[in-house]
Amino acid sequence: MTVELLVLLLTAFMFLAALIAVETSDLLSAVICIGAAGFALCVIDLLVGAPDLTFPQVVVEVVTLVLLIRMIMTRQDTSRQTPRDTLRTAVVLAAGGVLLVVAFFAFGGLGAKGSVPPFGQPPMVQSDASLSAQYINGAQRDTGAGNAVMGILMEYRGYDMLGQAALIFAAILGGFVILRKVGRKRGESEDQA
Amino acid sequence: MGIAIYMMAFGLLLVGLYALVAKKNVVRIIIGIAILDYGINLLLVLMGYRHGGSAPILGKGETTAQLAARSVDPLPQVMVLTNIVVELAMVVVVVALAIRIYDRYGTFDMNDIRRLRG
Amino acid sequence: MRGMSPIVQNMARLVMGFVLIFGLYIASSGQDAPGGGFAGAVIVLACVVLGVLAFGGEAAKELIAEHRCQMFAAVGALVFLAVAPAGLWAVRYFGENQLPADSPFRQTLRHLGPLLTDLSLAVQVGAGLVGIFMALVIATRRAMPKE
Repeated sequence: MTVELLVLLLTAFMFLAALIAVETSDLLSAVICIGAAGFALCVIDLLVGAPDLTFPQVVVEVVTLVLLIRMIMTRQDTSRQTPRDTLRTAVVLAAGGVLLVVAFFAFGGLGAKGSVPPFGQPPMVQSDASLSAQYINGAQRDTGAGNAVMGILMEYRGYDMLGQAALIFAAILGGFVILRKVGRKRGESEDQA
Repeated sequence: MGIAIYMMAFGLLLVGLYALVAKKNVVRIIIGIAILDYGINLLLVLMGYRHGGSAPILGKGETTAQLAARSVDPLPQVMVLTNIVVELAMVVVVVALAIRIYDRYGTFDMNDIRRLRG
Repeated sequence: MRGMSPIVQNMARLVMGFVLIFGLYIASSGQDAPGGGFAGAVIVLACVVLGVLAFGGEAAKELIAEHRCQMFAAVGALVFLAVAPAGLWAVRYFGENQLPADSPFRQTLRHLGPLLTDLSLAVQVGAGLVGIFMALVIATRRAMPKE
């Protein structure tokens, strides 16, 4: 019960930090707020038994923070305080309200029969035939990995991983292309560009 | 209490959506993307939690049956693990785009950029 | 980006090697403990970020060339791509039953595959992210107002 209470508090903290990050007028404080939300997410990962996720999350957090702060500190923010766009805000609020109501009943609020398993009871608890239960029962035998997460990631879902690696490779190449100083012309070597 | 936690995570998603749709500053849009990612990661990790569960790592001298009886669901964690690094690559690309926009137009404001074009 | 004071630089010089080793350890020990290729790669990236913050972008640029990062990223991706067919070939060639299950050769093979996958993934992701971080540092420096 205490873990759930802590998770609830941290989630509320993340929500508030995100709200402040979006609404505050200063860009630097917005970036720092987003960092706070990310570190809260790391703590939640630790609490709910996902230490595999904490390492990458912390480091990704730090790198994102460094990048965004560098970007903001070296450039002047000349944007004026424009009045809020009422139409877009109203549309988002309406869509969000609908989404929240649907999610509330899908997660089994008010005693409705939810289509998503309730909090604290993932499908693998309810039946041994579920995918996760089979993975976790066979991980040691099939892959020799004591860490079930890495066993699934690298062996059971190896092709998933391959696609993921290709995606990251493509994203990084795209970043290089965007950041290149001058577009190279046809037939011109790299030294002259 | 579980439903309250889920609703908070959904609220996080909505804040990110709001920043993406209604904000005009490029930095705020990047922040919105980051918040959306947090929301998705949070929701997936929470769905795999079980009451009193611990990490799905085999202890010394433990059998898989014991592990399956105590551990949280590893499958959502796998999804989130890949998502985190993709998120970093995506943020890097978006920051590069924002830097290019600033170099060209001298501002982060989408209104000004649109005005300068026409 | 200029470097920081000598105190920070000396501390960074002390710590960076350990961070690098920790990243490699995390990358190679993912099978039985929390960690894995991704986590190791981002820890290596954190080491480079520390170096850039402490010594400045110029010094780091001399050390890490962009095209070398791109090369390492591509090599990592290729090794990652090659491990899966290699594993299939090994299973077919040596057979499931020709060697006893507890023979040291099969044990090594069983651990070598995931280790190679993890390390190649770490090389690919780490080199790519380090290169793009360096490119971003250079890009941010160019737009700095003249002081």
